[in-house]
Amino acid sequence: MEALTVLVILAAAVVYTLYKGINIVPQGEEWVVERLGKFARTLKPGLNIIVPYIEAVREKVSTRDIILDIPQQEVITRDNAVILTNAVTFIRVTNPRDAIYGIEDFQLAIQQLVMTTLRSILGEMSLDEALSNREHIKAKLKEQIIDDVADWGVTVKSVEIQDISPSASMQESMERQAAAERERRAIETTAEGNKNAAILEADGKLEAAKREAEAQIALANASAEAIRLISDNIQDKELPAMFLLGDRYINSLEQISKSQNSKFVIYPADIQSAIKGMLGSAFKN
Amino acid sequence: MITLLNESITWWHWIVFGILLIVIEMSTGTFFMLILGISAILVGTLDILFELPFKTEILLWMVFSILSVFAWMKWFRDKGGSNSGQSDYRFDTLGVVTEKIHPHRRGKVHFDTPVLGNTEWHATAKTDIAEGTRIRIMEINGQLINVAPIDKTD
Repeated sequence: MEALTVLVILAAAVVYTLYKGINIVPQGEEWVVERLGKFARTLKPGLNIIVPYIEAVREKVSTRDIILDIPQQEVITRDNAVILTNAVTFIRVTNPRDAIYGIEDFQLAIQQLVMTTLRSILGEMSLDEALSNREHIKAKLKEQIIDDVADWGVTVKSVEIQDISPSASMQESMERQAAAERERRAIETTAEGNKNAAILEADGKLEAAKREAEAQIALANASAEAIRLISDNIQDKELPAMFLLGDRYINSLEQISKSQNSKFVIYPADIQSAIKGMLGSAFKN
Repeated sequence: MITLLNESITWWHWIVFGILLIVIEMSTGTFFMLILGISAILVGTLDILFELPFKTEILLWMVFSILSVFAWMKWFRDKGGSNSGQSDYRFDTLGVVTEKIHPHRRGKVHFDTPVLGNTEWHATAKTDIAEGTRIRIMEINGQLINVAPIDKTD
């Protein structure tokens, strides 16, 4: 009976020992094992056996990438503009031992470190630079934290700046500035248009006046030519002229007599001298 | 008591117990139950053949459990496998020194494929390494990669 009790207790001890000694580490994790309180080794994924009672698993560390959110913070740039920025960073534990023993809480530490470094980098830049140089900020950030993370067994894979936005008041004044700039351009464009229109109108008037003058000259020349031609043709031949005149005179008398309302017409009696007076010097030799 | 157990615990109890442990193993995946289960089935099988007393059965169960752990360690240990997602992932990537490394000063290396999301890294080494030398990773210390020339480590 006693032997049986001992055996059962022994069996229970074996079961418990096996239970403590056999460890299956899943892929993506590494377990830090301590031997009597001191670091012994890290267990890799798969089936691992540790010496129970002497060795113990101190911490299970994920070796997959960890996504760390860097909360939004206010930063003052070199030109005293207040901007709001937040980021996301991807880190990976590359040395589980250092990640456990090198720092109290590596996630919090990296978060704080990225926040402060980001603030100092943006503080050295002007607002316009900060808004347009994200790649530069990323590269500089990774460069600046090299020394700080060396003892933590953690590698910062990448830091992505999610947002860089000016603060509300800054945004308002930037919008006002942009609006004023557009207003100025609109006024300039209108003035330019008005000026061009006035010039074109004046040009039109000038051209019209020139043409008018030319037309008057052409008209005067034509009249002079007509008179010259008439006087050249008539010259001494007073008789045919007189005949033509008389003929037209009679014709017009006829037409007047045909009209309904003008039955009473006065003609100059001496039509010859009247025509001579009208034509002036044409009949003078 | 002992006679009662000797009479009442028969071979098939051990086999049922063993199967039960294996079923539990399937849902937990600890491997530890599997060892105990297989040992119990083995004990049941021996009981059929030799009609063992209960004390011997328990003793054998313990011995088999311990032995199977050693047997696994000796013959079935998983040696290979991908190290994707592990801390030594991509440690076999080779690179070229782009900025001379002195033991007391950092240089820069360029890797053939990205290591930890980047191909360019600051690097340290124990010896002087000239530009253009092929290197392999020895250790990763945060943002610094400890490298060594290939020919010296081979």
